[in-house]
Amino acid sequence: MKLKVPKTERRKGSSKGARIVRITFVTVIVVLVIGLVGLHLFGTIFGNKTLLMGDEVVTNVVTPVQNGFSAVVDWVVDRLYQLKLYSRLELEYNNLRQENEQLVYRAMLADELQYKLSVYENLYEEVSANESMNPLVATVIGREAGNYFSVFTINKGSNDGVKEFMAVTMDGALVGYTYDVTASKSLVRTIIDSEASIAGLISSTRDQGTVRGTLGIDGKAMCRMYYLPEDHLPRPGDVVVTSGVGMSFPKGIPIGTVKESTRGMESNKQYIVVEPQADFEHVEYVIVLRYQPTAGDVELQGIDNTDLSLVPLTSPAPVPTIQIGSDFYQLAPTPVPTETPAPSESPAPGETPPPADAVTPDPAETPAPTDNGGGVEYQVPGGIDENSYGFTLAPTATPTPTPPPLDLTVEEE
Amino acid sequence: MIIKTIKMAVLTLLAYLLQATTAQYISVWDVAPNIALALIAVVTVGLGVKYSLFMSLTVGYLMEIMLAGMQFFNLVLYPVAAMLGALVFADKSERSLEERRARGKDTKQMNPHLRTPLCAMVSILVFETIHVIYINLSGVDLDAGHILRALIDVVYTMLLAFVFQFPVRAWLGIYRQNRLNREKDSR
Repeated sequence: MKLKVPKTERRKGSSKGARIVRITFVTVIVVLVIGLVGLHLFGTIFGNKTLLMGDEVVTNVVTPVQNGFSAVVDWVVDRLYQLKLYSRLELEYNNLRQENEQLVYRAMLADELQYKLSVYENLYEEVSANESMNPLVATVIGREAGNYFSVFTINKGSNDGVKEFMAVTMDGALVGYTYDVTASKSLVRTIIDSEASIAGLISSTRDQGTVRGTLGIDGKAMCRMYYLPEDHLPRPGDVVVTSGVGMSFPKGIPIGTVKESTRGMESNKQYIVVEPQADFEHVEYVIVLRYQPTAGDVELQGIDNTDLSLVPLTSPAPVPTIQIGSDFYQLAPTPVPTETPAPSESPAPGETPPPADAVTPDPAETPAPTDNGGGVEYQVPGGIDENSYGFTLAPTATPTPTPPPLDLTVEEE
Repeated sequence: MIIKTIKMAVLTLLAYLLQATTAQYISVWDVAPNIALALIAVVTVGLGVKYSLFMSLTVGYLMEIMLAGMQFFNLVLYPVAAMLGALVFADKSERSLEERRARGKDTKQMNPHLRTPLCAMVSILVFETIHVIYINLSGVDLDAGHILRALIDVVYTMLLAFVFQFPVRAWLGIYRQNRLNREKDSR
């Protein structure tokens, strides 16, 4: 039976040659290391590159090993990183999904707030521009989605000073007018409703007419303008504004633009087509112009009032009214002459009569003339003029002189 | 002995490679540990001062020629730090133990598994102290951040030395040698 001998015992019994080999091996390594370090020290201190050859050899040996080891380490690190990612994938996914939902919600909220801000800015601009018309911002709380009528409900009523037939605007354009006003809400009939009838005028020619909706006629969200003078044909693109006649509408609210003007070219067509400026598909906030024209405003409208009947208005300066059918035109009885008073004592000739007690009044200060003749006119917010509606009116061509007629007389032989 | 020498050479190269390539990936709070000094501490306690000197000198030399930040810095610092650690925590020789016995002092040595991280602590403490002094002499005002980073490095390297000592000692055959020695003594 062979006994197992421990290594230490075996080492003691190893040959002398093997021991010499071991000692030589270790000595060589130690000397090699110490020699390399010494060569590096001396080579660096004395600047001898020949002595640094050992560094170069070691570098050439170690560099590929280091490259390989580094690649292995990088690979391991990548795998570990992926493992870490995979282990956290579900958690990260849930977190990202939750974060994404929050961001989407915030983005929607931001969009909504931005839209509201722009709406409020427009409303504020419009309200600021027409403060004299006592504007009131109202919210649309309901609308009839019919094919024949276009009315909606706003959240302001008589408690807020709203009365019937007040102009309702949005984005600087006429939307409609109020009717069926209750204490807390009002109905608004839009200008595209067939029942709506508003006095308007062509801004460029000042021709007046009546604008009516066409929704119940042909189902289109358009307007038609009737009763225009026969001697003018409006051009497509002309702006139609309120004339301030009739209802308590301020003058100059943009209604729309002339889209089709073929009156007279087609038989029995006595109107022109007007495209409304307001966006009736997106009515959320409107402005009610609680404008009540004063007698002065009516008097100074600067328009032809021959077709209008004057309505007596309460004003500090009474305006004489003429009512058809009153006794004004009947012959009034001649008053009976009263007894002639006795002549007073005449002053002596050459004597200057004393001045009257009444002092001659100073002439009143002449009011400064205004552009609209003194009447209140709607101000389009943002300084929009006629050329700001997406088109430019072409200037009227200068008439060329008519050439003299040719002499076509035939001389008789 | 040849096998042990070859293992030492491999371990030395591995210490350099780990320090040069891996340390940056296992940094904690942006403080990378000194893997090389941790392994040198394991060798110092397990195999003795001679092997420690050989390993630290080689690692310092490789760091010097491959990653020279400043001339002779690593070449000098690694052996010095390792020798200071070895001075306190390396195995005492039979001669020194006999001397202590003759003086009536305690000759019982601390558990090597505890001495290894403590040896690493001394080495890395020297290493970090010299670095901090150097950057202070370079004109950098020291603050609590420098001290904190140095302390984190010390603790981290101690932990690595504590963890590395078990596989390294087993690979170098230290546990087997101790077992054989105990068997020999019992006989």
